Amino acid sequence: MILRRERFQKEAFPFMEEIYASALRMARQKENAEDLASEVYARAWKSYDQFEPGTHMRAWLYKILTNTFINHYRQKQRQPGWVSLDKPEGDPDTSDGSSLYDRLADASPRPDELLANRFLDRDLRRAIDSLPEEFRMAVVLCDVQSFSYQEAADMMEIPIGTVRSRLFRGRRLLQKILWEQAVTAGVVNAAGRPS
Amino acid sequence: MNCKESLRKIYEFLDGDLEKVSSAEIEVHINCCRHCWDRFEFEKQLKTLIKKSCCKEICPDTLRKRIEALLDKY
Repeated sequence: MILRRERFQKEAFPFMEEIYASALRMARQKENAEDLASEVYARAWKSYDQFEPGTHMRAWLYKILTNTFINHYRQKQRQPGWVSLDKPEGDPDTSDGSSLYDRLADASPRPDELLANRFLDRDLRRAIDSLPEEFRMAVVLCDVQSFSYQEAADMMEIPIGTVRSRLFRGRRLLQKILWEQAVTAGVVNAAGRPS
Repeated sequence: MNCKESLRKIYEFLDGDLEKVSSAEIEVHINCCRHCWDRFEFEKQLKTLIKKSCCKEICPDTLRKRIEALLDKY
C-alpha cells in the first residue's frame, strides 16, 4: 500500500502545477479550479490500478481532467437556452473577419511588435477566460498544453474535425477579444491605428 | 497553393497536423509569400504568448495538502 502510494506520488504529483493551471483556465475561478484539480487526483488515485505502467501519466491525468470538467459542463448544457457552438460541417470557417492580424495589418508598429509589447500575460489569460467553454478547452489542450489534435479529440471524446474547427474558431475569437481589449485600453483606435 | 488555401491551413501547419505533402506545399508558399509569412509568424508568436501566459500559475499549498489528504481517505 505504501509502495503504491509512493509510486503514485512520484508519477502523478509532478503534474500538479500544470493540472491546476489548466483547471484554472477551464473553470476560471480559483476555488472551482482547486475543486476540479483535487477531484482529478482523487479519481486518478481511486483508479490507479487501471493505469497501465509505461503509458503517459500526463495524458491520463488530462483525460480525467477533461472528463471531469465536461461532466460538470454537460450538466450546464442541459439548462434551457443552451446552444451548441459547433457547426454541422467539420470544415473550419475560413472567413478572416475577426483576425487580429488583419485588423492590425496597416498599423504601425507592426502587428507582431504590438503583440509582443502591448499585451500582458493577464490580458491573454483574460481573453482565454472569455472564450466559450468548447473553444476554451481546445485552446487550453492544444495551445497551452501542446497536445495534438488527435490527443485532444480523445480527451474530449469528439471527432478530430471538431477539434480543428473549435480551435480555429477559438483562436479567431480570442484575437477578436484581444483587439477589443486593445481598443478599450486605447492602444489602438477602432480604425486599427495606434492611439 | 495560393494565399487563401494557405491561410485556411495555416493553423494545421503551425500545429504540425498536416501530412508531409500538404506541409511541404504550404511551406514553399509561405517562404515565397511575404503576406503569408508575416501571418504565419504572427500566429506562431501568439501561440507562444498564449502558452507562456498560462504557465505561471502557482499551485496553492492548500491544494497540495488537500490532495495528499485524499490519498489517506481513499
